[in-house]
Amino acid sequence: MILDRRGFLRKSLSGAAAFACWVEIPMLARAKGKDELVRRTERPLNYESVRSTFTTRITPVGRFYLRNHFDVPEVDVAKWRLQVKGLVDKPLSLSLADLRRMPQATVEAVLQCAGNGRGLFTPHVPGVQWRYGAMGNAEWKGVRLKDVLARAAPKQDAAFVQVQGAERPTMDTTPAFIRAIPLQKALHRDTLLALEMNGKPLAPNRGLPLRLVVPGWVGDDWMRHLVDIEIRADEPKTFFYDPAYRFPVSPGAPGASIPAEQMKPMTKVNVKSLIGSLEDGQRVRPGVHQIVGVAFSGEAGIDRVELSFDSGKSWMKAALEGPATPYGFRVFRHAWKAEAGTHEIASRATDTAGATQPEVPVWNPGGYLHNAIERLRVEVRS
Amino acid sequence: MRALVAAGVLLGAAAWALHTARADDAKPAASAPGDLPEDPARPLVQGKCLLCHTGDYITQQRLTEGQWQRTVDKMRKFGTPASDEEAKAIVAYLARYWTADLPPPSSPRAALPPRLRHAQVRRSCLLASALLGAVAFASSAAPSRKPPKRSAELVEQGKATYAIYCVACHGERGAGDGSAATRLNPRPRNFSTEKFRQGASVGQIFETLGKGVPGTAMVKFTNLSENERWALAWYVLDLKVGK
Repeated sequence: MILDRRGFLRKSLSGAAAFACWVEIPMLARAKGKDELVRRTERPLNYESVRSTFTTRITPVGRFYLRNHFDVPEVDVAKWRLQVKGLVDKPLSLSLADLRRMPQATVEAVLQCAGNGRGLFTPHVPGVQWRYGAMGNAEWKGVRLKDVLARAAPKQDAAFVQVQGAERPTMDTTPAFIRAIPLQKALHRDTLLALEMNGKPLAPNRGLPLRLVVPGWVGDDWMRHLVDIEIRADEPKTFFYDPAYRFPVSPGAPGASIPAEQMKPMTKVNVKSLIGSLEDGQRVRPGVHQIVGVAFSGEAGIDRVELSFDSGKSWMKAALEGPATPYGFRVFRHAWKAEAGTHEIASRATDTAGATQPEVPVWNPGGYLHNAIERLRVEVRS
Repeated sequence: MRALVAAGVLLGAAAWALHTARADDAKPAASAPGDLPEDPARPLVQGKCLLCHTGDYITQQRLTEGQWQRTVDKMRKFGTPASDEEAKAIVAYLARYWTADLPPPSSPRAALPPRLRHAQVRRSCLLASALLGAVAFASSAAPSRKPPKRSAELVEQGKATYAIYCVACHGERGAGDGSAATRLNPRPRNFSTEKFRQGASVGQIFETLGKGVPGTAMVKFTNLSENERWALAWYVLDLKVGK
């Protein structure tokens, strides 16, 4: 490349800025690795976390998965307003400052795409082919939705809270992304309108400036770039609520189609565990290896995580780290004495309500809620 | 101050070399996921499907012909401007390449596009950038990038990119009459008769391609490399003057 003097100077200076960051702030160098994700689709942005992310309780923002239906919207924070309307006595139009003045609450909760694991179903189903990484655990801070609803005073027949963000489809013929949750869940004290994720204001691709946080429930309800809350007596009829994002009341045989009236909106995330310290097909040396991973379950805490090193013939309990958490990741750990040979390693979580991971996934037409026990083949060789 | 500039230039030269090398590495190979195989039906799929999503939405699927049919039906309901005949050709193309029994796709590890990285990282750069940026600004107020010279090769490359990403809205000759145009509000620009509201120099067109036009279907095309955007900008200028 040939540059004139001025161009070279400019290039050098911007390069110098980059270099200054690179040498002076080691965080940037580390962040480079941290920001590594697995690309599923470039537009809209759908990236999943790499497996090694799942060895800590809190998932760093830069390693947290991204799921979008449309392009990330440009949000002018100064002009941004949240409208609360519909079946309320006092419709509201709130600025960011209005929300910041209200009492703030913090909740640690797993955000998981309902389609996490879709790529693992047989027969295949269409959609983003997520494997393991469309999940993460963060500390969400913001206003309790119930406090905002109290100010708006829902009418007697209010039953659902409909939410919409600032994102818009490319074509106006494409349905807007609109979701709804029952009023009862909306009024739960842990349901938040979050302004912060892991102690920082929401980044532009994380829902700036406000996102709904529905602890224990699947990600489709956690609306980003929230601009519109509408209180309704009934459920929305729009595509992304009906027929999309539904799970059969009683799942049929794999590949079978299910009548529409047998499909219901998903609510709770189901119990799941994932080993983050080993990759499938990895080769390790004989000796002691720390097996570390995370386990979680909708609205119940984790009771136990068991590990098997012999293709599921025998199971032993792993140690659970840190305090119990109703909605977050629980880190599990086990010192594995690896002996030469090929081993099939599996983890199985059971929650405090007694639910445990199945041997085979429950096939469904949308490829949702995959939580079958996962088996990693690891070769031990000196 | 002079010492700072000198140090900046020195450090910058090193960083620039590093930065350039890294940018080249990040460029996907020709067979990157999302690339659609050469086929008579490929331009049709590019024009009808890549309006709203990249090709990787397609290439990661493993579906039966029936599933592809239902997917295309759904996309037509969403607004894909395809006729019955075109839809048939699209289904045939998709069902030919991405069958249910194809092995699973690879999992490409990738850094996020720079504009979408965690805000924290950007903020860490802010101070240093602001300091040196001020010096850079003092040196010139001209656009930050110098356009590559127009060449037949570049225009040809731009034309190919245009056929993929732009034709469905802006139309084959840039008249704003692509097959999706009537569904968009505001309507896409007619390059030869209407004003370029974001500026009509090659540099300004390049900037618009990278920034998009908020509130319109003109999204930012930062998925294209800078070189691809320059090539596209030159081709759009050709359409403007009716070449």
